[in-house]
Amino acid sequence: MTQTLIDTQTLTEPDVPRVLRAAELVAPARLPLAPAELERAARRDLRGQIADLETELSGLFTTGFPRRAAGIDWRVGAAGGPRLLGIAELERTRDALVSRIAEVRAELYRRADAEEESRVRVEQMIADPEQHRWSLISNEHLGDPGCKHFHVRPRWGIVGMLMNWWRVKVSSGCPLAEGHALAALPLPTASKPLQAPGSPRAGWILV
Amino acid sequence: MSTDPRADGLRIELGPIDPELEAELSGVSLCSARVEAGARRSPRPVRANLGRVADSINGATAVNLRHRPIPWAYRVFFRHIGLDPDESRTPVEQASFERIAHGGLRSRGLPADALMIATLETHVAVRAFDDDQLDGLPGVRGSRPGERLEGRPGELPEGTLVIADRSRVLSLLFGLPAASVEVAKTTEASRICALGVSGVPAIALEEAIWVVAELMSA
Repeated sequence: MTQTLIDTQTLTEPDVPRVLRAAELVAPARLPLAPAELERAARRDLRGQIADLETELSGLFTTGFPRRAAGIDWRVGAAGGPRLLGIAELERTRDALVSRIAEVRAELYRRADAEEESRVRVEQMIADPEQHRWSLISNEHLGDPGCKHFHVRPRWGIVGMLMNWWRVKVSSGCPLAEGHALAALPLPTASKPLQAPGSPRAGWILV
Repeated sequence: MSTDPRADGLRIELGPIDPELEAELSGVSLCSARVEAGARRSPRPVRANLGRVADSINGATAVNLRHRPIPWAYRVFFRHIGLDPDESRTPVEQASFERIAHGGLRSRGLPADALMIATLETHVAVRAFDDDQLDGLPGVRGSRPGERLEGRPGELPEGTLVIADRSRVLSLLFGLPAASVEVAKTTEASRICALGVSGVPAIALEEAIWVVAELMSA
């Protein structure tokens, strides 16, 4: 509720200067800022907005982990620095951040929906494997790290297929790391077993 | 020659900042200190320290780095000066990326190891120059018309933010130093600089310089 300084019902013409003075007290007149100051204030304001948007984008980046980053572009584009940016460039940076955040958020929502569908599907697979024969859901579909996957397979191979005995098999995880050096070596053949030059013990890894 | 910076009383000085830059981007500062040491092979304690720092960083640390106040401040500052931190990484993010990509941190001698450790421990951007090659204290300003950076073809676009002494450009802001001011084996004294931006407390800058000075004098 606003506080009334003057009773307007009892106001007469000699009171006008008093009203004006009261108005000045309530809202003191501001000196007009120089254009340079106005521009500086605008740039400061834009920098504040960019800082807020960066916080938001950083939050989405962390939310997106550990989903694979493929398909999500986090870059906004540089204005060509390092240098002081003008209003137009700061506005472009801000707008680019806004649209990048919108794109990333939409992509994360899309993936979250797909992951939820996959989770429901895994539950259905476990509850009723016969209805989901050969279905395969990996951790990537669930938005989780690692290489685990859920696969509906017949128990005891061909016997299970004939008898309609199905079950969900959970894989044991990621294959063991092999390292870069091994990948660069030539494939061993029967006539020429693997031996890295200068490394007599390198061959035993595959034996 | 006493090499213990604590015994000598490390003197941290503030470099000049261009007034226009200071008015636009308040909080920009360049602290520096002279350390009586040059480039050399890292002694065993420094290499052990590098290994310890490398072990403390994992994927989760690297991902969450942008939520920490100082790395976040550098990211925001990058955006303010026209750099995209996802293209040109901030110093601490670059160091973490190297650690994750190579599975460890390889020793590259001093002062590189000391700068790496200080960056990862304090998250502050630090640089080292050959102090005897400098003309006055290094500061931050925009480049002037016709100015060049040694080792870079052509003139710098006017207004490019650089670290410079009284007479020349030493490096781009967040860039590597020019060859003539790099700390070399012949260097007798180095100037350790810590670049502060809005959101980075002064104590963090001082700590970063202390870390580098102590490791270089190890």
